[in-house]
Amino acid sequence: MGCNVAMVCDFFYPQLGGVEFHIFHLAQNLLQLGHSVVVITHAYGDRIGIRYLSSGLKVYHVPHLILHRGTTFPTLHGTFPIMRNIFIREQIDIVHSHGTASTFALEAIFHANTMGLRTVFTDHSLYGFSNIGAILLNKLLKFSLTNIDRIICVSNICKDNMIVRTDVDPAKISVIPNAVVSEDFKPLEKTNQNVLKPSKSITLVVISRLYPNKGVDLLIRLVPKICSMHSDVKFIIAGDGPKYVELQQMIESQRLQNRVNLMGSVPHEKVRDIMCQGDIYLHPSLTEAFGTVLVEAASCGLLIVSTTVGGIPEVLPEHMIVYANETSVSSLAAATNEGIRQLRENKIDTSSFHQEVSQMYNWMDVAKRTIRVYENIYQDATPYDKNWLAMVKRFYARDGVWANHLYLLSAIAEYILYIVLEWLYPRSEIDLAPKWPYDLYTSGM
Amino acid sequence: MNEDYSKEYEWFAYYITATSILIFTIIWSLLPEQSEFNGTIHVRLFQALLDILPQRKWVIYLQCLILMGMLYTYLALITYNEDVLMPPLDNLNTVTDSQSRLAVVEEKQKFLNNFTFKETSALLDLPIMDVCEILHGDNQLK
Repeated sequence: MGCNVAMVCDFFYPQLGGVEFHIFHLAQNLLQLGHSVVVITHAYGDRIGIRYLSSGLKVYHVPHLILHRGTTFPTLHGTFPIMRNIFIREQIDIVHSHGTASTFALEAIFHANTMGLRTVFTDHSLYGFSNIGAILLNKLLKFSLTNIDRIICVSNICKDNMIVRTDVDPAKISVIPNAVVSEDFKPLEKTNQNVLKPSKSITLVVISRLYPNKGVDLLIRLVPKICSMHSDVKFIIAGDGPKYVELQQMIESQRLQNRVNLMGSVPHEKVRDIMCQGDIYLHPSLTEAFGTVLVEAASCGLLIVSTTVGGIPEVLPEHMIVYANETSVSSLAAATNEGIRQLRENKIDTSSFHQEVSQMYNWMDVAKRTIRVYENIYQDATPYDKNWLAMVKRFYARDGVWANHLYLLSAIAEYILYIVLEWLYPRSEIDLAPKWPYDLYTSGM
Repeated sequence: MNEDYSKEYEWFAYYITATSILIFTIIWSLLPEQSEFNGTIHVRLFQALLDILPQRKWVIYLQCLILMGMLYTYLALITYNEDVLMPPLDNLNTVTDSQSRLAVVEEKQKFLNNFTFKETSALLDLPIMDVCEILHGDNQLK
């Protein structure tokens, strides 16, 4: 009992988002369950070196050149020396990487396999197959996941996507959804509610990064349509992104300044306060692997109006969501009207949502299921899992004739590098880091 | 269902381009030099081709350039990470930074119970002093 786990991802605090919170909460709960967890990410500005977060979560901010949207410069072998050092220092047994777009995560899997450590990968998003970026990323992922022990996906649709993209044995893939800290997303007290919402007007909330894949184009056409149909409907739109200006232009050209409140980006701890000002959460996204924001909104007692893309239908029970039949403006408008009608006629009671959601989703449950995945690795382990020859053979059998030779070359270069590193920086000269004394604390209580 | 084939055309164009470049490179680098064993037609044809194409040494040059460029990038990146991005050991950034939010509580026991061994929903840094005391102190947790 008690594994040493390293969570590796490019995305972590101070950047805020779904993946970052997933890692943070999962790590904290694993610590509570008696496992030792460290997080490895790249340096953000002057946040560099080692930090201890609450509950003794140790974070390594590795200095590394950053390329694009917070991901590091991909080098395949460049991170090996420092990763190896950290893995040995922390006596890591399992390397758990997060996020397809994170080069750090994928390289860590490759290095850990070379060092004979167990590897787990969690995927948080869906990817396409037909543009050049996605194809290259899928190839890279296919390479990185060749010798993976277990994969965790956040929804069943994500699992399907993963199998098609990377051709991994489905038996290795588990589905563990995200969760929310339901105490942070409580609905308003009944008494306050009346103060804040005196009239019967209905407010629609949208909180999302304003990227094209979040369906902002749909939103831009949907808002005037809904506003013209109902005179007492208001919008609150929070978030920032490339589509912000277009949204602003729409508001100005349609003269909706007093009906649409465009807030720009908001910190995560303010999200609940914004959600509680609304009655309906509108989610026009075009692609979504899980949609944590839907769970957060439902936990705040909002009715959800959403498209049916990706993993959204798996997330919440049907009585909390009004689905748009198709991903189109007219269909979303019809769904929004249906939602407004249900609320007006008091056909739906959203006050029970919070209780239901808090029973469905919590991080402790996620952590326990993750541990079961870890234990599973050791049950099915064979001595050949991390044998270099066996791994090279797997690389060779993996892909087309050009790709597999490249894979082979990279793998052999990596093994040579490993031998060189063992000689240059011997294991015996690397200090072992002391572990956070959880057992001492619990025994002292 | 009317399917959209535009992507297929695009990919076919990529495929043709990549394959042609490869075939061109192979022909370019393997064309025999003029010699007495070649027939006259061959001599004319090959010579004409070789006259049009850039000097053959470029094949080797370019390949070496890419290979050495990769090696250079590796070394440059490692040294850049280590010498430019990594702060010196006496720099304050190794223990704190502008983005850290510290968990500071006066009472010792309260601090231990609420922050050091308990999950918090907000992301807070533990002060380095307390971390050292917990990890290396004599009277741990007392």
